[in-house]
Amino acid sequence: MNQLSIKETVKNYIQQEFLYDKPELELNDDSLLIEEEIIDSLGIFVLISFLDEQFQVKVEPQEVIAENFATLDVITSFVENKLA
Amino acid sequence: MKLNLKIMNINNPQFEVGIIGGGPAGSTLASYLSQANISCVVFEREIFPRPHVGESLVPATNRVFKELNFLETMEQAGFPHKYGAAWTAYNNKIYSHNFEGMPPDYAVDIRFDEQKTSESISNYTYHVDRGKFDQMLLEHAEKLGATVYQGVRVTNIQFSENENPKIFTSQDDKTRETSVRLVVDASGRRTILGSQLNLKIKDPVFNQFAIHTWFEGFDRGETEQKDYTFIHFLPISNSWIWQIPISETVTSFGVVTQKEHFSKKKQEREEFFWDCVKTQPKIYDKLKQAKQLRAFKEESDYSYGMKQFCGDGWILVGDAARFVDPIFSSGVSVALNSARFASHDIIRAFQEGNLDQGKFRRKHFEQYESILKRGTKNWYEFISLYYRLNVLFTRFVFDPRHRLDVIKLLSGDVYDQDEPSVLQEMRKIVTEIEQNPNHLLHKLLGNLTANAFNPS
Ligand SMILES: Cc1cc2nc3c(=O)[nH]c(=O)nc-3n(C[C@H](O)[C@H](O)[C@H](O)COP(=O)(O)OP(=O)(O)OC[C@H]3O[C@@H](n4cnc5c(N)ncnc54)[C@H](O)[C@@H]3O)c2cc1C
Repeated sequence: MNQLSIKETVKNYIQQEFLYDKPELELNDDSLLIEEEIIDSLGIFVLISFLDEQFQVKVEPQEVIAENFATLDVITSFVENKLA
Repeated sequence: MKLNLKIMNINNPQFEVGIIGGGPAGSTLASYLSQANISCVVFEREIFPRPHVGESLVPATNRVFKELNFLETMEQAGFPHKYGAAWTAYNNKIYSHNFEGMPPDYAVDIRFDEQKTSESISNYTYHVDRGKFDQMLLEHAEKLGATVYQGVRVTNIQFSENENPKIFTSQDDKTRETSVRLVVDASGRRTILGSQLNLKIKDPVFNQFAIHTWFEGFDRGETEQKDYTFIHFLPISNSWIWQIPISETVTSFGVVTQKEHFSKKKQEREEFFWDCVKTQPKIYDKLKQAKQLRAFKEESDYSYGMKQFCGDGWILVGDAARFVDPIFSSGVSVALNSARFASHDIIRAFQEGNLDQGKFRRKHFEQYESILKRGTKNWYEFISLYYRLNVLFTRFVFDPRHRLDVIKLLSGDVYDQDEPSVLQEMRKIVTEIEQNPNHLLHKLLGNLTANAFNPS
């Protein structure tokens, strides 16, 4: 899976799952997902399950930190590193 | 009312078992004992029906209703069936926009019929008007053979080595005494015996406060969940509103919060209730149009444990033994099931004829003690974890790997295992989040800690 498709897949998912009622909100690669509460607390769990199902990426509890989830870019490299 | 005041010897008390309180715990125990032909007397200080908090049941009560041939009576009474419970998020920053209206999300609904255990005989349970329910159950005990006195208050118990325990009662300023072989305290939060014997320990963690009343004409909507118990989260921590259907048209509402929130603000109580409801504007608008049927009632200092559940000549059941918190509607189920477990030990002692020179000793209740300890410990852990991080609970309900285990707990099935694995799993995650200040959920940890409080 190449970089575009990981990023695109996650982006599509976030849009469908968390922004379905906010079509006007533009989601950029560096939008602050957590800080701006695009993804809320329950959403973090939901996203982690998605990463597992989609990419078979297991997220350890100590990895659930802003460094790995702050933006779409960050999530993408986190997933890439896990898959490498 | 006439009590036999003859002084009797130790082998011949007036009643084998004397029960303080005719609430759900007392009348359930009296029913089980009567079914087994063991003579018992119930002293209830009020004249029923009387109002009482605790209107939403869980499916584990069905087992007791069935064993007592009471299910049909429940059906005939027409109490609303409770097929599940729903949680709605409050409209603050954390939860406001993302999940609204999207199942399964903030309105997490749980249907009990997914869980098929011996505990859940039907796939639903009931919402009850406690005035009516408690009266029905007490009358049932009487019908089965229990002697029931209403309007009679127990004032004191006397234990002595050479005589049967004596229960002192008062009615219209007249004092009487009744000898029994065993005293059962089912006096609810009045904890008559626990207080007299100095067994009571205030819970060091939970200090919640509740204010509640009934409304007529609140529009519960037309969805499938309209007869569910609803929990509406409030933006102040560890606080929520219950919404419980009492009949087609009557709905019970209560606000539960940490006592400190309440006293700190020093507001009038009613104002506080309405301020809390206001944080859920949709509920507020509909509730303002409904008619309040009763004065507001308050409950406080209701979280405590006891150093012991039983001793020589006495045993505690229901709230008289322990109460923690109403969040999972466990109170009546614990009352009924603790009475059921207590009845097993009592009946066994009579059947095996192994009383100690006609006396009940603590050892006769070994099984009761260990089952109740286990059950209340599991409830306590579940409630603590929930208050510590309620998003985790929501997450587990969504997760197909855990959903059924959580539903099992919510049904009231807490007595069989030392610690259900789902609780261990939740505990593990909470600990990890607690230990990692950078964890994205760390800031969400509630200020009610999951410290173990194990008085008994
Ligand atoms: C805020 C709040 C909300 C709750 N919500 C729920 C809920 O939704 N669902 C649920 O299942 N539980 C709920 N509970 C818990 C529930 O109210 C109790 O667990 C339940 O009523 C316990 O039954 P019991 O028979 O042990 O005690 P009680 O129902 O309190 O009965 C005790 C009886 O003893 C009598 N009595 C007391 N002192 C004496 C005396 N000296 N002499 C003679 N009689 C006496 C009393 O009059 C009373 O009738 C809630 C509790 C609180 C505080």
